This record gives sequence, structure tokens and C-alpha cells, in this order.
Amino acid sequence: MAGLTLNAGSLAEALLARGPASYAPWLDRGPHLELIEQRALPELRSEAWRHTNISRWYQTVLNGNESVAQSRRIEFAGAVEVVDFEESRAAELLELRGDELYQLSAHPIAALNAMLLGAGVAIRVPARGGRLHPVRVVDLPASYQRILMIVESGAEAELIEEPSPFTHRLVELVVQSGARLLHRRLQAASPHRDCSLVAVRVEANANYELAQLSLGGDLRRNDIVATLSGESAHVTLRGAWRLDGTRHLDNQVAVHHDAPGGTSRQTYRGVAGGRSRAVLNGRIEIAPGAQRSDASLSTKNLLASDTAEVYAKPELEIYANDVKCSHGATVGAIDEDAVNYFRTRGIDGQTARSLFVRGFLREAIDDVETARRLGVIQ
Amino acid sequence: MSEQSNELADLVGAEHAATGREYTAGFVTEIETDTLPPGLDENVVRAISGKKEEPAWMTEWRLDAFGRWQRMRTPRWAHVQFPDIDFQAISYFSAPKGDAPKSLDEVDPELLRTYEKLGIPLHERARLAGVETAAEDAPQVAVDAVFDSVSVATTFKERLAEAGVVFCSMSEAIREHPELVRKYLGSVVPKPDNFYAALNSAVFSDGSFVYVPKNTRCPMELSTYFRINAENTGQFERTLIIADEGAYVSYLEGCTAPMRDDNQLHAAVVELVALADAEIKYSTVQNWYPGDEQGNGGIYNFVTKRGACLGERSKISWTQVETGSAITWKYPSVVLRGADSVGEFYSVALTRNFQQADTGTKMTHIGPRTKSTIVSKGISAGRSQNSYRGRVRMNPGAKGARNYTQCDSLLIGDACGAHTFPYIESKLPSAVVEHEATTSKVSDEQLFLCQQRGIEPERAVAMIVNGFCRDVFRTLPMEFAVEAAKLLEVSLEGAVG
Repeated sequence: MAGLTLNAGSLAEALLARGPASYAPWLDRGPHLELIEQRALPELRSEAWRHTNISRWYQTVLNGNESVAQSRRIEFAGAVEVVDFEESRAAELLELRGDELYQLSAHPIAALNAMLLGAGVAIRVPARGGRLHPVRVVDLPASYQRILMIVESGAEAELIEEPSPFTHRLVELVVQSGARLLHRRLQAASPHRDCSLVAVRVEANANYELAQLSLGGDLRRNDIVATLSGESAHVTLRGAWRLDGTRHLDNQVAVHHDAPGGTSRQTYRGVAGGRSRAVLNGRIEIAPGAQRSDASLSTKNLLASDTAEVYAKPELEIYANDVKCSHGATVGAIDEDAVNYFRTRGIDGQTARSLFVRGFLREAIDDVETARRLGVIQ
Repeated sequence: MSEQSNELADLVGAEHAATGREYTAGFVTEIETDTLPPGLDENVVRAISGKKEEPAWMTEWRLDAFGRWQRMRTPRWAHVQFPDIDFQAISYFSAPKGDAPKSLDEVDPELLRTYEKLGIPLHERARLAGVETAAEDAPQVAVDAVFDSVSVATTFKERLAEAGVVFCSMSEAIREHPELVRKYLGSVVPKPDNFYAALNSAVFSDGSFVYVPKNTRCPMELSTYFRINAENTGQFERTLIIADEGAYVSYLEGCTAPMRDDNQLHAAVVELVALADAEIKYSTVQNWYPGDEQGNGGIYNFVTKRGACLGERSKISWTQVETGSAITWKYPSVVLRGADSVGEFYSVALTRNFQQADTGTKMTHIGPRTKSTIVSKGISAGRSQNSYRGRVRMNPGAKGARNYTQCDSLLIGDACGAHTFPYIESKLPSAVVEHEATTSKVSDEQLFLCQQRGIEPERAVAMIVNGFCRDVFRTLPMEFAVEAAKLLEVSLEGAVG
């Protein structure tokens, strides 16, 4: 396939000719196949792909990612249940998940994940399991990956996605009532092109917290869909990125308040240097009847070079009246007055800038050790 | 939902059913008209051009636009819903019968009465008489009145001519000032800019033309009053305002239409050009018929408004108060080309019943140290949908540019929607973009506080909404600010408790 330029249409042809993957044959791939048959894969320049050239990703779809891991590596301890998608037990866990956590029509490239899936893992954190060690997903041995995690009522869990190559990763999370999930996603700088979708359902009084650190990729797209489905659910999303060279990072986040009394907090801090491009589209949607919702989003961006680009689009879509929603977005440069203030106190400009960036990014990161390991901060 | 809000909602329903909101401009003027049959093809475009006795270059310009429009598709990205428009069912030209009046005395008295009824005085004498007793420098407003497809009267032309200001209908400008029209028409909003702009370029009927010469401060406010009267017609006016170097002009726009059960299309194009050190202030109070409480009828207000700050230190300021139209879909924008130029956008958009609005602005920063300010206040009531959509773009040359955006939404009732879609695009570090948005409802605490002090709920909500909009109202010319506040109050009647 090398050398062939693929668009949505020719990719669909190739996929239909190839047929679905043989991995986890029990999976219902009907809707996905249908989407591809109906040629509903996103075209170049469609609204959702305004700032990411999807055809550059399409070029990698059929070959996959050549540096993908050879074997599965997942670290966990205690009462956590971890099964491969090849096992029939995975089907039961998928049953436990219930309805789809995202709309396929809104995330059509997830159809490619279903069609080409090569590695999947289903994780269940049982209720009353006590405080648990983190589940660490280090490697999955295929270009198309899927992680399903169900945190049962009242349980408390932590999921860590280590930097690892893939072409598309689908992460499905259910945080049942009263449960709590802390989710860390670590994305090292990558020469590859990858897309991922995190879809999470947060039930009544449950708590989901995401911290995502990213250095971008040759092309990297992160879609996140969080639905507050039960009353008084809480979601915190934090993201920090630092891009240089020609790195590309496109974050598309949607938080759906479907039930009353939910709260959501989103904080993003990013630095774009070199010829990089950073995108954040953050949507808050309050459904009719989701009264007393309280949602906020803050995104701040620093441009560190004349050739970097930042695109921010914080959106509010509100269909209930008793709500408190706000968003704020800024784009600018490091405050040179602040740098000069440091210099008058004997700290050189470079150190000052680095301190400044660090302080800036820390507004969104609490895990400084990991941030340093990834090189997000120095 | 709290008890108090419930009470509010009840009042909405009750009051509404009892009185409905009065749309005082909803009458029809019985007047003989010269109307083209519905339908659109090249012959219609030629016919419009012919009726207006336009030169060949103008006819060609229209035909070119028509050709482009035919190749375009209706845009669907806005957060509004309406059935497909049958462009062949609309009549593209309707004018009161008879030759164009040479002076006010020749204007059909029925027309003059229409404008009097709307509160728009076309009689200069009456106005002047009033001035004699008032202060010498009492504000005067020159009015261009556009009735369906044509301009019927323009007042104070002589006074303006003394200052060198040209204020006339677009048809007249094409005849009298072809060099200016040819140079600037379509320079800010090109023919193929968007679907409705292309349509307007092909079939525009009339509108206002303003030219303010170098270093001239226009001696009075200029105003255009648009009135749709005829049935099944579209209004496609075209306005072009040019402020030469160092000039200043303030321009007001108002509009109404009769109450009808069918939707009528209004697809205007407004172009502003500000040369070095010039300033244009453009204010709109939009009160097209919004449809009845079941969502029947009303105007589709699909308008392209854009200003170009071409010269250094030029300034363009848009202020809009949008209370009318079944659907409002417009983004008055500024292209900041000249160094140190300034763009401003102040907006109040109120929707109720089944009204839909998708409105905002685009600020495109091209020149160094350009500045823009956006203040948008959206109020949704009833079952309406109100969206702010805006784009701030910092191009690589806009060193040291700044933008500040504040958009707030207020919700009244639990069946409406308020949405915010800002696009922020920056390509250079020295530019600073700041955006803030909030959405909330009229708080029970505020209402309670007012009621404790003996203020009726309806009055209290009007006060709160007025305060909410203050940042925008203070940018309007005085008389307009009063009118806008009143209009808002009337629009809120029955929409809140």
C-alpha cells in the first residue's frame, strides 16, 4: 500500500476489500461496517478536522504503526480483573458497560478501530475492593487498541496510560455510582501519527478525574467525551502540553451534562514553540433538565515562536436555565516584564522563562515528577 | 427549577396568552406597487438592473454574481433550523408605483404616513420647526427611507452637501458617483463571499450610499430606515459607507415589517471602508417582525456586514440591538488592515418564543498593533435559541495586536437555549487574545431583593436585563440608546413574570 495516497473514499474501498480483523470475532462490528459502507468517514477539511489534516493520518491507517509493541504489558495488583478481548469474559464486561459511551456519527474514525482491532483489554475494578494500586497500561501489541475499564459502585481506581505507540486507541470508561477514577494519560513526543478517543460515563455521585500530559506527535489527535449521566456527578479534566519542532496536537473535548446537579472543571495550559500547532476545542453541553449544572473551562496558551500556531474554540451549548457555566481562553506570549523582573534579581533570562513556563503549566499538572520525566517541564 | 422560576414561567405562559407581545410595526400599507413576478433567472437580474436604469458595467457585475451564486450551495453550519428556502417563490423586486420622487413633496402621502406611524420623521420642516424652540445644536438625523426594494426619500441632502457629504440611495450613487461605487462596491464583501452575499450582489435593489470626504466630520447622524411591506418579496438592500482620511460618520439603521404568516427573506450586504484616521460608527436596532408566539411567520435576517479598516489609525465600531426576526444570522466584522486600527463590536441579542439567532463577529487582525473589543450579551426566553459565534484571528503580520472578548448569556425560562461558539486563531506570540464567556439565569436572589423592595417581578427582570446590557447600550447614540432600552423592555413584556 506504500506510496498510495488515500482519501476517505479510497480508504473505505480498501477496508471493505480487506474485511474486518479476525481479532475478537464476537465483537459486533455491524454499525462500523455500515458507516464505512456509507462512506461516512470524515473528509479533508470537514468542520471537526479543520486544523488537522486527516488525510495525513489516513496514509498510516492500513500499514499501522511499525514501532508498536510485540507483547502486552499491563501492571496491576489486587482484586482487579484484567482480561484480553479475545476471551469470552470480555464480552460479558462489555455487556456490563451497557450503551455505547460515544456517538459513532460524531466520532466516525472509531469505526476504523473496530474494523482493524488487534489488541484489547477489559478491566473491572470490583465494588468494595478497598483502595487499589494503579492499573498501568504500558504496552498493547497492535496498532488498533482498545481499553475498557469499569469501576464498580463505590470503588476507587487509578488508570495510567504510559506512552506507547499506536495508530488508534479507544478507551472506554464507566465510573459507576459513587465510584472514583483517576486517569492519567502520558504522551511522549512521537514521530508517528496517532488518534485516540476516550469516552467516559460518570454515574450519580461518581467522580472522574483526567490528567493528560502531551508533547504532541507528527500528528496527534485526542478526542475526549465525558458524560455526566447521573445526578451530582463530578468531572475534572486537566491537560498540559508543550510542543516544539513541527509537533501537532489536536484536542477535541466534549463534556455532556445529562443529569441535574453535575459539576465539571476543565483546565488546560499549553506552550507552542517551533513550527508546532496546538488545538483545543472544548465543548460544554447542558441537556434540557440538567438543572443546577455547574461547568467551567479555562484554557491558556503561550506562543513561544513566530511560527507556531494556536487554535482555541471553547464552546457552550446550554438547554437548561438554572446553570452556572463559564469559559475563558487566552493566547499570548511569556510576559517579558516578568522575565525582566527575574533578571533584576540575578536570574538569567533563559532560567526565568523556563521557571515561568513551569509555573504556567503547573496550573494544570499536579504530577510534577511525571511531567519532568516526560520533559513537559524541565 | 426553583419555585420562584416556576412562578416566572407561569407568568410567562399566562401573560403571554392574555396579551401576547405587541408588535406595533406589524401593519400593512395599502399602496400600489410595481412588483416583479416570483422567480429568479438571468432575465430577472437584467430586469432589476433595467428598472433602475443602470449602466452596462453594473448589469455585468450583477450577472457575474448571479453566475457564481448558481454554483454555490446553501450553507448549513449555523445553529439554526428552518425549511429549505424556495428561491423561485420569491419576488425580487417591489416598488411603490410611479416615477421616483424628486423631492419630499412628491412622495406618496401614504408612504409618509407609514414612516410617521413608525416614528421616523421624513419632514425636514417639522423637524426644523422643533429645533427652533429647542437648543440650537439639538441633534438632527438625516434619514434614507427604503420601502421594499427602493429608497423613497432621503432627507437633509442639502445640508449634508454643504459639508461635502454624499448621502443618497445606492441607485442614485451608481448614477452620480460611479467612480466611487466601482472602486469600493464588493471590495469588502466580494461577490462570492458567501451564498447570501452572492445572491444580494445579483439582485440587490436599493440601500444607502455614504461618502464622507477627507477631514470632515459628518454634521449629523445618518440613518436608514428599512421597511418590508409587500408580500412574498425579499428585501436585498446594499449599503456602502466610505469614510475618507480623517473623516467621521455615525450611521444608524432601523427596520420593521408587517406581521405575516409566511417567512420573508432579508439578505442585505453592508460594506464599510475606513481610510487613514477615519472613524465609522454603525448602529443597528433590528426589529423585523419576529413571528407569532407559535413561531409562524417572521423575517429571515441573513445579512453580511463587514468593515475594512484600510488606513492607519482607522476605527470601525459596530453596535447592534437585535430583538426582531424569526432567524437572525449575521456577523458584523472588521478586517483590521491598517496599523493601529481599531475594531469594536457591541451586541445585545434578545430571542423569545421560537426565535433563533446565530450572531457574533469576526475580527481579522492583519496590521501591527491593531486592537479589537467584542462585548456580546445574549438573552434567551421562551423556546428560543440564541448563539454567539465569533472568530478572532491574529495573522502573522499583526505584531502587538490585542483582542478582548466578553460574551455573556442570560436564560429566562427552562425551554430556551444559549450557546457560545468562539473561534480563536493566533499565529504570532506578540498578539494577545483574551476571551471570557459566562451563562447564567436571572438569579432568584436578585429578583427576591427587588421584590422585597416592592418592585414588580416584570419590572425587576427588565431592570436586571437592562443592567446586563448596559455595556452595549452606552455605546449607542443617545436617542437610540433610549429606543433600544424601550424596545428591549417591550420585547420582554410577557416573556418574563
